[in-house]
Amino acid sequence: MCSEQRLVPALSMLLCCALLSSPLAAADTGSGSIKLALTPATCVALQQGRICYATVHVHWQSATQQDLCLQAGTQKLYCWPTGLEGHWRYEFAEYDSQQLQLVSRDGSQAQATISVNWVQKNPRVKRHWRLF
Amino acid sequence: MRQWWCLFFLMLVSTRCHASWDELEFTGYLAVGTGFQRALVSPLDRTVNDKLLLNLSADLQYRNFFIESDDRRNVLRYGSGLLGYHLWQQEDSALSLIGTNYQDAIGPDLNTGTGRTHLPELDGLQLRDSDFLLGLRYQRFWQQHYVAVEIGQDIESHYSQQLRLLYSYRQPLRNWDLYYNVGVSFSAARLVNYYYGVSAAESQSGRPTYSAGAGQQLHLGVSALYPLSTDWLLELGLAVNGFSSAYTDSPLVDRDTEFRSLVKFRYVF
Repeated sequence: MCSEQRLVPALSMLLCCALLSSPLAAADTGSGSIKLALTPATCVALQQGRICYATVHVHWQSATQQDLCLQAGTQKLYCWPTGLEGHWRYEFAEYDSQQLQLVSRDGSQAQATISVNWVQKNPRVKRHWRLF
Repeated sequence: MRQWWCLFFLMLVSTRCHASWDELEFTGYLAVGTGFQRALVSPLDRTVNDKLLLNLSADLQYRNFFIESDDRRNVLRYGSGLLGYHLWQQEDSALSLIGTNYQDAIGPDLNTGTGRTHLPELDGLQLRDSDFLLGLRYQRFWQQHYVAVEIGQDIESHYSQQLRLLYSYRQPLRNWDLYYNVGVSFSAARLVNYYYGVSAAESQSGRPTYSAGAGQQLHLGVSALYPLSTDWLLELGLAVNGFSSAYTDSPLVDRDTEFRSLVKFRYVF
């Protein structure tokens, strides 16, 4: 038998393990003096082929004043006023992983990737049945 | 024991000539969680409430043979699976032979996932064992809709029949999957009487004899699934089950409706 007092810590610990096993840590691939961080850097969907949603906190820092925009491919997502750092909340909704770049007039300054993963990959046998 | 013979038979049928493991699809789950219930027979609440639910299950498909883990579209049961064999299958529909347990045991001493539980309020009752129905299921998917018709004959305890109709709608909401479920079941008098009837030998003060007729159940449920990571799922479920007078008139029953809920963390492997 398991009492309620023992049940709550056990479930809390399990939730912690589940969350810690997911890469919530920021991706960071700054080139030169600009550091770009995305938190979380991974989005998990239930099935492959489904849009994955995540609210990603974008943060960059630089030792010198910068005039930067965030881009996904050629699409401009957000531009910051000139400064030493910037924050932005990005509502990510994509089928696949996406590379983000911090771009200045001189070109790409830093990049980081939001990875899309799935709990269930597409089955080998094509069918509509969903496992979950 | 008969469940295992059924499983063995179905595997034998599925593994005949040209067997190839490439055709095997397997997903295993180790689930841990907790549930809360207000059962028709109130002492049964203690078999679930304040207990840790631990469950090892799998979704498996090999040729026409399959095992399904807990049914997200039906929160009637805790930790029950289903095994079956597709007689006919298309991309959006299937007719299958199935074997599964619908009704949990009722009695003064019950085996639960966390050990044996004694329910003194039910002293003097003979054990009503859990059932195992063999039957047919037709199911169909279209868009986010799902319907299933199941008819089964028990081979384990009451040797009676049950017909179940189930409709479910899946709503993807960001990374969540929400399932809205409605089910109706029709049970033969022998089944209802086996679980909820009271014989002369079991009768005592405050528990008169009772003979039940055929009965119906209505199931309304919502369940939700959320991916915590590539290996972990969070599963939530809420259900209300209404019962006809064949059930609620029983002296064993002290509620008109049943309420069930669960929270589970599932490790996927």
